Amino acid sequence: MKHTLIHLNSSPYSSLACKEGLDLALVLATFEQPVDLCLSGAALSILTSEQSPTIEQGKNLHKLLDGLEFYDIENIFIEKDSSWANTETSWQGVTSLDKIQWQAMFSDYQQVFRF
Amino acid sequence: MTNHTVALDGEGYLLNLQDWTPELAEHLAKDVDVEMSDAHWEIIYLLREFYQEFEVSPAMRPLVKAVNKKLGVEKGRSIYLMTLFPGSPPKLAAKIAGLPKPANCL
Amino acid sequence: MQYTLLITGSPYQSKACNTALRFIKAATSKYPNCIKGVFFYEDAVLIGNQVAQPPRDEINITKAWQEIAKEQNVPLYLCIAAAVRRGIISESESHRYELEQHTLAEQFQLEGLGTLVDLMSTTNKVIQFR
Repeated sequence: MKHTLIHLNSSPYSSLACKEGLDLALVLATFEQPVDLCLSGAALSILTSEQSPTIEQGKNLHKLLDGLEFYDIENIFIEKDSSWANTETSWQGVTSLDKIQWQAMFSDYQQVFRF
Repeated sequence: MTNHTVALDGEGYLLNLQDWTPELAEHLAKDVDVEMSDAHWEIIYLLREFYQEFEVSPAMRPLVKAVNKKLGVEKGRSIYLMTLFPGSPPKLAAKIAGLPKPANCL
Repeated sequence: MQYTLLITGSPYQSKACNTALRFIKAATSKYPNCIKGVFFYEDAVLIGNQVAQPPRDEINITKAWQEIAKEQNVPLYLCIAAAVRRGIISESESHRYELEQHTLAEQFQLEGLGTLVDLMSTTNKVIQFR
């Protein structure tokens, strides 16, 4: 079975990319395929709590983070020292990797898809 | 039901999610031949909470896990949900709960 | 060795559809059955719009894909959820949404993401073009 990494790097509010990347992760998980997530760049803003987007601004993808456990998606990686990491207003379920671990991570998967 | 008509899509899902009321749910359930009981309501409210919390309609697996977590292992099994909502529990229950159709339901 | 192509880049904002087209032509010229399927996701589903009219002096990328698909007998899938939200509607979807028109070009078919998952597990590699 292929282990998949979904890499989100786009802002959740500037396009549908994050939403559609997460949809793919949920479907993979629904089909019992092992899938992990990693976040970088503008996608890190998903982690910020107390988001309340209006319907014009888009869906609140932050809310989905707490639901990932029901899909058996357990690993959400970020790179340590990312500006959103480890702040009090940030979602706590992430695993921070140092630079070397972060770079090595991409080789741990049979397939990586970027959104 | 009163005279006011509620818009459903071709498959019977509510078009305007704000239209949902418990009374409406009774009617939606009749449309799909489900006789609502307390056991049904428990799942319907759990499903609505799930959607409010995570903004997504769950497919079978996450639904089973959520029921397992909130209502216990006896109910958190697909066979239990199948007896309440025969065929496809996530689809049927989402219809009655006034939620969007779960994506890529098996 | 069989590949799946996953194309996510918009035909207008990126060259993903063009690069993937060159890839599939090169690959199938050497190994005729090496591409099991092509799955378009995100804005790439706009490739399946049968009413889009590119300028006459530019490539008709939709037509180019239709031709290679026919020639190599490769199925072209569009993610149904991504396509429907962007107005790429098959005849059967147009009935479901009670619409009078449908816009899905020939050779393309609407499928759920489950089809992509199936391709992933039955081919050696998935190559993403974005």
